[in-house]
Amino acid sequence: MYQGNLCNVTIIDVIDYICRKQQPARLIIEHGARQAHLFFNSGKIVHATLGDIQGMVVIYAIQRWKQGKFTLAFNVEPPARTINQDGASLFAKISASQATGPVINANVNGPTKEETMVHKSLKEILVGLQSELPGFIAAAVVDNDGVNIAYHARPGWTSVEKIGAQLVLFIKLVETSVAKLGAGMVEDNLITTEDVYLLIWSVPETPYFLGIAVDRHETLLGHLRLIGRVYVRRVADVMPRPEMRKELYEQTV
Amino acid sequence: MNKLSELLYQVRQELGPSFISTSIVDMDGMAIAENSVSPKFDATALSARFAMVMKLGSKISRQLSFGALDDNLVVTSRVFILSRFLGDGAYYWNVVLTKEATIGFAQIVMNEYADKLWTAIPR
Repeated sequence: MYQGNLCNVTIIDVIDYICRKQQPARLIIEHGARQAHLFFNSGKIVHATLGDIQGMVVIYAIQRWKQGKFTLAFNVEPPARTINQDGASLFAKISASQATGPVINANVNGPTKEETMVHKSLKEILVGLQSELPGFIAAAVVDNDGVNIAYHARPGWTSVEKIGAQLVLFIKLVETSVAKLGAGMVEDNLITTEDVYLLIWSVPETPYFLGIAVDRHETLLGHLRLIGRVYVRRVADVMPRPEMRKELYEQTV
Repeated sequence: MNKLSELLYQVRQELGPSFISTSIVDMDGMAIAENSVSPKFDATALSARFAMVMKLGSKISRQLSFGALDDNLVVTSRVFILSRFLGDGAYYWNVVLTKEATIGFAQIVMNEYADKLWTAIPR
């Protein structure tokens, strides 16, 4: 059993090391309240989980983790196979490709065509959401580090930049609490305040969240939940998937 | 049976088979009254953890200028967890229900009992 800290070594380095060993292995990476499990065999990544997410999307989610602890154990057989690629080289190529842009948050050389398309689609979805929700205040799609991927707010609402970080801070605390209680996986969370309904969803099969704030005096809660369910699926549909990212990668090499 | 426990038992009766657990908790996370269908249910852990959730929810609500936090509803793959402040906000009230519960009805029951529970808390 080996333990280490991501302050001293990158995830890519650890994965390269494991792949070179060519042995079955399990790598657990802890990043705040989140824990990713990666399994290896014959020099390849064969399985990965992060909460209820599994497969290559986990690799895309964890590649930007710069802090956290890891624990490595050899001779642990993978419980399932959800990845069928040379994980180490793919990981390294994905990381390198950030500089050329197919991953959403890579803005080294400004937004690529694909980034712009995703952002435009998200923005259109959030604008559509406003048109269907009376009392709409703001909506944001946020990654699991609290960075706003896209947001839209009614004119004059000035706390837009704050909302992403706040949403993620809150939902992570809820997820941790629920996980520790063994009460299943969080599907959504509704905060009701004096004036506002703030509904937060995990976007299915992605490490992103959708948060919607509406004036509670102008919207029926059932209507908000109904419309929210429809729109969280729309957001999920436009977010890059492993297959889509693979295609984007292949177009750039 | 003291008044608080009696009221929580009535809540349990009203919510029927979807009821799992309920507790009244101070903002230090200590339950002052509780009722669960199973003695195995860890109401103490729930109370402490959701005190933190309610505190953070209040802070976020203030920072975003959304007004005071009234309640929070977590939907998980297995349960609903409803939490709401009582009275002046020195205590909060948790109710855990199965996914078969009708949330709208549970909220009506909670609205009905919130003031009674607040009045019944010894001072």
